[in-house]
Amino acid sequence: MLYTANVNRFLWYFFVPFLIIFYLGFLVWSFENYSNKPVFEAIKNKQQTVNSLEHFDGIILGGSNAWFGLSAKSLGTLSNSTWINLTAPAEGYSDENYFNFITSSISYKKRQNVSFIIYSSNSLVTKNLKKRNNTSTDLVGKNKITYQPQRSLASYLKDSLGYTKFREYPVAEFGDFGFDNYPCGEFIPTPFKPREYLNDSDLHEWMAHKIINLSKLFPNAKLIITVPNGFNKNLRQPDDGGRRKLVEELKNILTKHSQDGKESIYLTSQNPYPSSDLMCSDNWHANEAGRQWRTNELYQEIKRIK
Amino acid sequence: MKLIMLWLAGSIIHLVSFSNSNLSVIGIISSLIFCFISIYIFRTIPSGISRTLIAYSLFLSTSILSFFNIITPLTGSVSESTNILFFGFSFYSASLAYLVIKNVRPSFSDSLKVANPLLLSTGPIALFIKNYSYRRPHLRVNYFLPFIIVGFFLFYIVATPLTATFELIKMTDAISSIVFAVIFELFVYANFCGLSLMLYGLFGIFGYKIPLNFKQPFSSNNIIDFWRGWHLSLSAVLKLLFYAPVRKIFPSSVALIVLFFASAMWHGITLNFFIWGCLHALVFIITIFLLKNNIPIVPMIILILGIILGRLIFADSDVDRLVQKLLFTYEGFGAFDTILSLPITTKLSLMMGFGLIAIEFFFRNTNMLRKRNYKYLRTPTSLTAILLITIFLIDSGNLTYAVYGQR
Repeated sequence: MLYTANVNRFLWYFFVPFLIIFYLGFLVWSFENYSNKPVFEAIKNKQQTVNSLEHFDGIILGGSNAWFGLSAKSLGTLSNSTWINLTAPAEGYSDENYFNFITSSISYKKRQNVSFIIYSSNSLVTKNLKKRNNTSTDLVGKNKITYQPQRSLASYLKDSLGYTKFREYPVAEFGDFGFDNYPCGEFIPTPFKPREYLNDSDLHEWMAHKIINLSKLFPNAKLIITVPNGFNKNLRQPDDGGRRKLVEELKNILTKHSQDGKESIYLTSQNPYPSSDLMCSDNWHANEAGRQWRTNELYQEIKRIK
Repeated sequence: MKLIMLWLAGSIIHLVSFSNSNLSVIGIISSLIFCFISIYIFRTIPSGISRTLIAYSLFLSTSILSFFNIITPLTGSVSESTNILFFGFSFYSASLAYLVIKNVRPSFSDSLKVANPLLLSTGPIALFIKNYSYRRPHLRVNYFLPFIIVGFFLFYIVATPLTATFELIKMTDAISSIVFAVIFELFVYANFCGLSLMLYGLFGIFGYKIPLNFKQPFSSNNIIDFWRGWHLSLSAVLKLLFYAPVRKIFPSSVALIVLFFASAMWHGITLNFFIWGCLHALVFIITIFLLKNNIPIVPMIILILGIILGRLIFADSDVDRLVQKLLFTYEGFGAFDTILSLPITTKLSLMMGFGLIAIEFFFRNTNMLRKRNYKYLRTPTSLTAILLITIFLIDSGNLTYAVYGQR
């Protein structure tokens, strides 16, 4: 009995406080040492690619849907001009991060000479607007310090034992995704992952914000807003009606915008990928063949606008 | 002065822990103003029928706001007020109704208790906040800190990783529906109980005692025992407002139907809650009958069936999908493939969560569990194990929210 009481005292007055202090120390350590290396490297390589070019006519903007799914090199070949792909994983986690990334990557002088912007954002089709507006995550995915570490102690131990396999995001010419160094793997269907389209009030806020910011960043460019699509055949609830409603509302907003005398913004709604053979592992990101398919489809729209 | 400090502390902790939004400040202040105005009105009107009427109107106003979609139904998915001015409305309106019907003449300082943002962010309903500061601080820490540690573990380590299973709600076949209901029951319990224990501990360290909202509900032999341990603050309000007055006139079965119907309306004006209320009232009435006739085992079986079926109905306010689920069609065991493909942290959460429920149930008559106050988790040995597991597994990768939060 006495022995048990002593053990309990030891645990409560020494070991439990020690664990709490250890946890606080771990929080600080993990914050200082957190690095999202694949994203960090991808961002750095993209900036280097952009800096190496003196002039470009068009830029692809957006998140990973556009990085995997659209090719600046192909658009350049098709249109006989120079394009770059300045998309970022998770679109920089917030608009503020992403727009800062654009301004720090391209000088104002270069931005003035850009004629076309393709903007393909998945925040139109996923419910992440609120999260994007409130996030404290930076461009490479590092959070501010809180009472929860961004990665668990278990995952650090796993790293140290060599069980974690990091996959780099290779950057190819013109900032495109380097599929040559990235095996996509088997397609894994996710039938319950929903497409959740922006409601009308959020859409108006979204458009106003994007139009103002992108017009400031690229004062002489035509802006093509692209509603991205995925491979939808295995989805239980693709919600095609929701998509039609979103596109209609976007058209209404742009019609009103053009009535105000500003005719530099266009809308395209991309078709779903016709086969899972065009996808890289999941139903949202294209593989190399899927990228070619989507780029060709989008180019037809650009020709019409030109 | 102490209550103002407590309200300010609650506001700061709420803003830091639960919300990044600047709008939340408006919600916190509007809830306090609403409580001040309500108490001013109570103090000016004579006691009697008009006060009773106001108490019922206050309680049912949650249902009206839910009907007009100003606050969302409380299915266990993220529930919130769509208008920030109604932050925490369902909690403080129920607290005020309780105070009024108890014929307590509320003072203005009561609004600081009732509208404490921490309580509004997840419950419990503030039936009382008693001064406990006469206990010396280190004794308060010794007693209440373990509640915080246990609550933190339940919320972050058991409940939060289970959000990875939520896609199962869309599957309508019998096996998937039941699997989802079982996991979701665990999620709601660990989430709500975890937060309630954390708040109980936090208020205790500050020198205030609030209701302990959960008392090992799974240490039960039947559904009556179960409800003696689940969301106790709401049960207290419902008993006082609905069960007690109806029971004076009608038999207990009628009083129970009214009670569960009122509970359903508080959670939201949708068909699933109405069915859920009817089901639980029925299970409760059958259990009373069985216990009166000394029929063993069966109350325990209908407890398990009632909880699972009840959660299946409670969780889904999509009527078409719910109807499909209630047809219980067999389409194989696809749900288990989904479970197997879950991240390892989610699988660990499932094992730990069901392990804790098994301990609550199978050892319910032992000394450690008999008092139903989580003593078995608050021993130094258990706390050490809990802290080690928490430190090892915790990360910020999952969606965190309070199931009863902010509406």
